[in-house]
Amino acid sequence: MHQAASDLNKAKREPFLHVVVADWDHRDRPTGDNLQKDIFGWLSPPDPWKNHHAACKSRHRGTADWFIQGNTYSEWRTSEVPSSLLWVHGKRLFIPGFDAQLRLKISFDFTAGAGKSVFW
Amino acid sequence: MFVSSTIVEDIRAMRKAGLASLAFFYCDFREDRKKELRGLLSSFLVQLYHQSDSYFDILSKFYLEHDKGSRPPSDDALARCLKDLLNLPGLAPVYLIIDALDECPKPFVVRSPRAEVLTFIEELVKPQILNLRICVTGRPELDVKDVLDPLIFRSVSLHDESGQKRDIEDYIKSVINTHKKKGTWKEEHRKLAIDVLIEKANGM
Repeated sequence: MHQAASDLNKAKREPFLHVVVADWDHRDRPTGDNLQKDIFGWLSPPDPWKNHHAACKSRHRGTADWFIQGNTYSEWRTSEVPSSLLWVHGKRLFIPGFDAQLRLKISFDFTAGAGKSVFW
Repeated sequence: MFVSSTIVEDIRAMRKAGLASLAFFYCDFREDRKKELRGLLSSFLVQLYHQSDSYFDILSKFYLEHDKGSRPPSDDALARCLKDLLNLPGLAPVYLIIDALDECPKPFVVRSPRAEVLTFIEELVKPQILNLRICVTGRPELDVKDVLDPLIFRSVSLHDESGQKRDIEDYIKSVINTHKKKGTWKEEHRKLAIDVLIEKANGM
């Protein structure tokens, strides 16, 4: 009974496991595969790939390339200083005229020949 | 978010070449487990144990010590396990990326989820672990600055960077120039829209 429940649980979490680790470099572990799955199920970590894929998808091409190519990032990336901490801070970008999904809502109200722009 | 995802992509390329190990975490106020230390620790451990046999051995031992997973690990035990793993000598550099730390909440209690993550970052930086590089992104809120400022190797304020401003301008131009109503606008109105939006673009 317990075995059946355990199998069922494994079956339930396998699709999630596949999604999460699909991108990871698998090593051949003929004896470790079940153990990997068991540890994964035990820790049940949240899935960082969901956020990562969403960020990559909504990222405008070329955005942040300047950062990767800059000196500060390069110094951190190759730093020999133990426990090198890079702190990148910024404010949430807010552009009046863009809504929360960063879609543009824009209209022009040209009345009486006077160009009056309205952004919201 | 875009800086973090770009860094993750860059380090992933290093990892694929066998030059690095990588674990990343996007703090996300919409998901309970993505705004607390426990979620971060378990995520880092599971991401890393695929990247080295030595890491896998440490985590397997940790699992067996908890009666093959019949007991849940405490947060402290998870943190100790991750530190053991990061302290292993002779392995590829490890990069840990933590995005949007400010999305971990800071209610009016002493041990808020954000304070716990900050304390853990402090515990990783202060002992000077070889071959460990940590990147944290987020809004520069006071409690975060208080802890991180003394620990920093390098810091970047995106708001002051001309590259960030160019990114915003490029993005606005791209949205305007591909907008479905674009064809109905006169050139001067299109320019006006771009200029006003760029002028109004500001951090909050």
